[in-house]
Amino acid sequence: MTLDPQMQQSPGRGPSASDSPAPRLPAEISRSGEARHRGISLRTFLVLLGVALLVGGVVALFASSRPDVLETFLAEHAIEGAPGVGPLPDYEVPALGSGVASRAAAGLIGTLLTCAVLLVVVRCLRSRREPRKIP
Amino acid sequence: MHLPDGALSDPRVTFAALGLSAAAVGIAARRVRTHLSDERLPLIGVLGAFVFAAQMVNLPVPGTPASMHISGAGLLTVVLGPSAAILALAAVLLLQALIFADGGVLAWGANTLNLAVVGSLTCYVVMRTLDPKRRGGNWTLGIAALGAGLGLLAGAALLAVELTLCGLDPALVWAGVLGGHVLFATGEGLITALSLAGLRTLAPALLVTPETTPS
Repeated sequence: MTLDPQMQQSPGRGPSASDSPAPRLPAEISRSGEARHRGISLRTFLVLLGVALLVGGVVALFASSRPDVLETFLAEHAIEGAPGVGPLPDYEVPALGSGVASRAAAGLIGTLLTCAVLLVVVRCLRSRREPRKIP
Repeated sequence: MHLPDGALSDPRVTFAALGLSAAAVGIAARRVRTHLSDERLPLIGVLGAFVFAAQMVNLPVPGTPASMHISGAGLLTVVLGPSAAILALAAVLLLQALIFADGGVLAWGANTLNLAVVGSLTCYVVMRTLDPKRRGGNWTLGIAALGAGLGLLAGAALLAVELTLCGLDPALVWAGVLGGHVLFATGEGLITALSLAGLRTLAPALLVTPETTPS
């Protein structure tokens, strides 16, 4: 049960990590909050955002068109929910019709929007404590 | 498993769930403000976005005519802790309801309670109990898969309770709602473990405990 060796090479580690004479024990890292100094790099951030966009914009196009488990159950028991309204209903951009482009665009918009909204929310939450930089 | 508005026919259930969810999200927001280590903050944005995208990918549930998508509660909980996971999923569910007409606006309470709050807390308890040291190895991945699957099941059980409280026949509800979820819980666990394995190759430190004591 040792840490992945890549941990030693992870980007963005603080200078204290390289000066330290003894190798760190995994337990020490989690217990002392040492991981605080190991911020995620811009590269990690962008790779993850790229993966999210790939899933939302491309992989989602191949999603099963079967109804959801809950949807199926509600339909079987004749429970009608109110149809929702929104600018991009059913993950499609109305201006682009209902083809592949429309679904891909809605997925990309939604993924970027979620990321942006969450970063703003977290930034607002943290700024009330003390000023901090969030990329 | 997003409930549309009106599917919970008893308004008391809808509003009780709204109240509980609002309280839980409030507590989660406070804890994100004080407890989460700094390097995880930008991750709330990208991983929240990943979960939004992953929820668009419906997969067929074997043996049924239906499909499901993952909730992502376990994935977010392992990397960000339960507070940030609840906050991120609550935001995803709100955006889905307001922009994509997926899930009701009033039903946001029940959907957040089932998917985000119960899913995240269940996974958190499983992780804390079975992997308290959190070294980020394959044991961590296995327990994360278990926690994510059980989290999905716990949320489905609560959904079944809510539908039962609205006057539906319990036998039908439990068979109909929980049946599909039991099969899909394995999928939720597998996808969670695979995603975490991918994240580990990118940034191994992210699999150790996300929350710090308040400074």
